[in-house]
Amino acid sequence: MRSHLRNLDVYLSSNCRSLIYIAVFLLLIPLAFSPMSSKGAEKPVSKAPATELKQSYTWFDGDTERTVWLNPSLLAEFNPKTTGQSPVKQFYGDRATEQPNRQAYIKLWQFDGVSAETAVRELISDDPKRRLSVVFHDLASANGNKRALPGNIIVFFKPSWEGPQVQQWAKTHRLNIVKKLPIGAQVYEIETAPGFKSLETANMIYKTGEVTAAVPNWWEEVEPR
Amino acid sequence: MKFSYFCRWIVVAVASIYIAGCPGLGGGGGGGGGSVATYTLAVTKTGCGTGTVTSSPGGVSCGADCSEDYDSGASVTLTATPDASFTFEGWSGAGCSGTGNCVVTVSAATSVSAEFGKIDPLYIDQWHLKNTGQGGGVLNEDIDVEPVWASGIRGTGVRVAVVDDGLEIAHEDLAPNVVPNKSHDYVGGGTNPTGGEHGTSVAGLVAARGGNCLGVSGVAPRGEMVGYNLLQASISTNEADAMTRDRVDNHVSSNSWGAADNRGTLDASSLLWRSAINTGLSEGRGGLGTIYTWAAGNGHPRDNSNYDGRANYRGVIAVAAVTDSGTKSSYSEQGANLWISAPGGEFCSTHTLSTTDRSANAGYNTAATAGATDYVNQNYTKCFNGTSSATPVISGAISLMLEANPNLGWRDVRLILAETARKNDAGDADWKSTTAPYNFNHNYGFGVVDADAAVTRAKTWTNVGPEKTYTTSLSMPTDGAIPDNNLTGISDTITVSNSGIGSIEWVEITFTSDHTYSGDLELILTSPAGAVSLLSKQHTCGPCSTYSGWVMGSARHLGEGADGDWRLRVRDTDVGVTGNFQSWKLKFYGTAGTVVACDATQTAGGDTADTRQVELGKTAGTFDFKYQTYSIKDQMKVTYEGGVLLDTGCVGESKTIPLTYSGSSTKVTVEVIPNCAGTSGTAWYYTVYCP
Repeated sequence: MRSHLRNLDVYLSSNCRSLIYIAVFLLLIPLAFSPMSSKGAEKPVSKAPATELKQSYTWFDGDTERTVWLNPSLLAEFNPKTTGQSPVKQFYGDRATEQPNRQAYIKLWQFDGVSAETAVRELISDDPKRRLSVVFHDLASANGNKRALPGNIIVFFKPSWEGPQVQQWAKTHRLNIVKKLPIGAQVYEIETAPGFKSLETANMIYKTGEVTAAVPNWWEEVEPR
Repeated sequence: MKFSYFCRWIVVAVASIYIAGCPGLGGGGGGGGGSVATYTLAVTKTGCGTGTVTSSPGGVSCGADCSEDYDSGASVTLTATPDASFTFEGWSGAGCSGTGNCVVTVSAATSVSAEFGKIDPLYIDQWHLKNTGQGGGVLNEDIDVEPVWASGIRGTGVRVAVVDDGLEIAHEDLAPNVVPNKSHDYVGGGTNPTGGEHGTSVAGLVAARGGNCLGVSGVAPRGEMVGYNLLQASISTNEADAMTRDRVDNHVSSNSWGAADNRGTLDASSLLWRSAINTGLSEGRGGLGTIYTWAAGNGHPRDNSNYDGRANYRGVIAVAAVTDSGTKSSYSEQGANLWISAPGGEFCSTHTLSTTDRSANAGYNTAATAGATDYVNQNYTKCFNGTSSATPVISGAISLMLEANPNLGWRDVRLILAETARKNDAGDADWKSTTAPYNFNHNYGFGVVDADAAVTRAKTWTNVGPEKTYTTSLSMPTDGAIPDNNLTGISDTITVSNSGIGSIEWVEITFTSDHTYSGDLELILTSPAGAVSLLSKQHTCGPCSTYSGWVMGSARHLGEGADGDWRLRVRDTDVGVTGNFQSWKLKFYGTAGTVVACDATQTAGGDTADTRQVELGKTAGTFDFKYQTYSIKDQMKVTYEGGVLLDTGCVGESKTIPLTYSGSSTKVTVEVIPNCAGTSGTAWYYTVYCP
């Protein structure tokens, strides 16, 4: 039995080796050009929860608590000048790079070597009228949907409240009513500064329990389809 | 000749009567003094085409003679006849509109305009309107709109708000249908939202002017439009404004936008947006409700439309896209929330939609593409695609429905679209018949819109009754651990009883899991009737979201009853991350359905499918079901709390069968699928005898 096998091996080695090489070569050709090869080149997807962004904040969309993560190097400039150089660029030169964005109302600036929070603080210190905000994401990843805070909050009062009651409430809290929104029963836009102030005010008002909901007037990244 | 005094009086009297009664002798344009006034009826011809207007009674032959004097009170019928290769686009003035005859009762000097046109030069490429197989498509894989136009319905008086990145209101092919000073610019204020090529192309698909010898035609070529450039400044208050602005006058809100596609993540809508939509539904159009159309999304296979908190909201019509062959566009997202499909095309090289573009060099069709891959005329493009394209096609179709029947509520529009949609790609394995007459497919919703069928149905539609809702309590599986990489998964059941909803219009599913990689989870909802909603499929995302009170929608159960056992199966189809099925609940929207009494014979209402609930008065017992389907075969199904008591199959017969039931409901549902053998002209009846 053994000798027979050895004889077979000798037979194969002497007569079929070249045929086997050809067969293996022919098998490899389709593999080299198959879709599998391109799929194999794809970066494997990590299933680990996103941790790229560290600093999180909560806000309350009605009774639903939602979390956003701060992007430390992205700044939003609202109502940017349409002529001349942006003050962001004037201040930070090559450390600020404008990011692609389709919306006329907002410019997004990527910072290198300086945090977006610092940049917002410095730019507003230079001119308090500037409307700037840090940028958040809906996930702890820069791939998550972007949000920023252009200023003002929206407050949902109890439907039973009347206008004077809302006015009195605003006076008590030293807040200015921008306008009543034409939706729902008693929904108002209330003035706040852009950025964190808007988020903090909304959360503070919601936690008083005096209103149904208080949400920041978010700028949110959306796209045409 | 001599007359007697008496005879003289007779002659004078007769002459007076004769003169008074004689047309034209009473004086032109005046009136009074006992004579009949005459007035001039003048016809003006406008438009880029030519033709003739004639009158009955005669006098106008315009041609050359375009005015005539008629007696006050005369009824004159004007008929327009276009010359060969031209079209008649319609009347204006003297209360006339549309393309039928213009009947004028002359009571003052009157002017009427007749517009003659010509088929738009790029219409031949608009396969979504008329698919002749041009470009390799399949004949008649279109929205069947030409019969609607031929009937004179073209969107007149119906206004669509195009919410997008802008709308070039002065565009040569849009300007005639843009309502002056009613658009809005969210960046600079004011009423000029010019600036977005996407919105300009969307607008062309809704209502580019038809028959004006320019460019293309919209689905509603005489519809009205306004543009809101929300996507230039997408802040919350602007979103709410764009959804509700001019809500009395705007009929349809067309939305080809949303969170970025192809991420596989869950992107929630906000409380403010939902409040705005709800306001539009309850207050829009004087209480009939604004109709919101929404692009389902272009992120297939990574995204499902149910991951988008706007597209999966019950107040919007989520629109999927099909190719010129009637199959799913490769990018178009699946979803149990999909309502309807429309042409969106594939890619520019493989046939997309022709529409308007920003004028000159400002849009998609640049100097580099003009004459090469796109039209020479840069005011137009043939490369517009996506669920963005499909959505305005639906908005245009709804405009036609609302012209035909302005009293349709927002839910009526949805139901008509579902009932009349065409079952495209009929060989696709996902097609399932839900409750008659609806078919559903997770790629297409209820199918591709059929404008002619929808408008025809709209004309005779009876509005549905008030909406009822029913919310279950939260169910938390006792051991919610989801087996990893296991196709069986874990299931939980919610039993619904006495919901009062006999005909579901929408199901909302709220689901929570602590599994941190949502892409691993498949969520499958099964109704008491056995209908399956695939809410989520395994997919990749980088990184994924977590299902934390995530709200999904399903259109799949339209027409079913809510009572019975609803089962949610959760399975983790990939190895690695693990987690728990923590909780879920359901909310149903619908009506009580058609409830009839037992012992009363129910007869055929025609060839349309029919579903009725029969009140038995008891929660358990045995009753006789007597039916007759005659020689033309029909199918009848009797169900109780989702379970099938009897399925006759496709039969032509008369029988009486005893059926036993037991549960918490006092109603059985009888569904009739007429002409199940592909025939027509059937008749049937059945009686459910009281137990």
